[in-house]
Amino acid sequence: MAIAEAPALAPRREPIAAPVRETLGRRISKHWSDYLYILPSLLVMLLVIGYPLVYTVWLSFHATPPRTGEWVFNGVQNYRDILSDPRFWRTTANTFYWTIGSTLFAFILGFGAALALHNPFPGRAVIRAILLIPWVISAVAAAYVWRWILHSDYGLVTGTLLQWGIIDRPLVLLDSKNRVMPTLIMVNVWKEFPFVMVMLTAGLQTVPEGLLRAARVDGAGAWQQFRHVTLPHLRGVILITTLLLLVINLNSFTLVWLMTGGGPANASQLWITEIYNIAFRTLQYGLASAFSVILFIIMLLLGYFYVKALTANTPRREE
Amino acid sequence: MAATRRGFSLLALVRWLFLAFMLAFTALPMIWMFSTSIKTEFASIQQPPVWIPAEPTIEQYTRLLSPADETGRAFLGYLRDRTALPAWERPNMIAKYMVTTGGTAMSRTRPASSGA
Repeated sequence: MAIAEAPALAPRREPIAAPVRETLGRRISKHWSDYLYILPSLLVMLLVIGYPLVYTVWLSFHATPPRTGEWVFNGVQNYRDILSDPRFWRTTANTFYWTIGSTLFAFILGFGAALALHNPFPGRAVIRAILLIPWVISAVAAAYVWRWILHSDYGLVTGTLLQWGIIDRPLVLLDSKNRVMPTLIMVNVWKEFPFVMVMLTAGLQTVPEGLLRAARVDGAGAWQQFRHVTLPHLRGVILITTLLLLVINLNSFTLVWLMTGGGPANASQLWITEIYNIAFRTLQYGLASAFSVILFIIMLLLGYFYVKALTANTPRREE
Repeated sequence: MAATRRGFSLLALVRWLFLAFMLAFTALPMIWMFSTSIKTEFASIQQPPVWIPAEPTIEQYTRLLSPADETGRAFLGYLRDRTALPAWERPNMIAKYMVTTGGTAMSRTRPASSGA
């Protein structure tokens, strides 16, 4: 149509053939060797992730009375039981408190440490190595060290504060319903901030020195350089680090379990510790599976929205 | 100019204070753990807390590394199991193989299933 309406003197245009869209099969065959490389990983993932996932979902629709050991199909009753139990909502509140608190403070301290150690000075490597210790130490060792330090009768904190006259009776932290969560978050932040520091240190190395120099020439101060040059460059690293921290904290088990076991009076009960309780203490595997599926869906949604936000302004790479 | 210099020195002060806090926050639990490890059982629960014990001892270490002691036997057994080559190398080998092959493929191209 467009060719017919063109002026008579215009050079004749050859009709351009529409690009042939490659079919999925053709594209797969083009990359068959790559799929072969990934195949072992895919097979192992299918075995260790796919099978347990399907098994858990199937189990969540069954009642599993511990006495008989039989599976009785009960539809969505397990889900109803969990969602109507106030304990679930209390555990959810604890989990969000724990996750947001830990992520926020670990990020602030880790980012601060990365910035403070960015410019070279004598002893920087030693300080960086010391700050990395909590990250490399095992969570079990960390939990016991902190339990010992925070012990209300024999702990370092209580002893020191009593000695200095700041308090006049032992300070109860892990056994107090009100103080247990902030205390656990503090320990978790101690364990996690080096991770943020490592990630952001790597990110800071990628900020072009030329841009910072140009900003300085234009009269930008330290804050303006940070706000308008450094921070935009770190956007991707910040988002990835935060996402990883959120996932790690939502799945936390070791530290909380070893330090408080979810107590006192469930004040520090998180999703994962609660699932462990239901499955291995009360032996209600069906109920625990339903809980796990709910948690899985919540995590999936969080992950989806976060990755969407992460890739929102990223141009799509051509093949 | 003076203001700029003052600004920078304030920034440096904040930086050093922050680093000092972070060092204390990070290292004190580790130092306390070491300090406790060179104390006797009784000294480790003494109040007020003592950072440097008057009579340091390696009792806890010898106990932990002695096959004659029950705790030592458990610890040495655990150490033997954990460091036995086939036990830890097998999953490592699988992981390395998967990561190498998968990583190679990922670095070469985007799979068709990604919709590119």
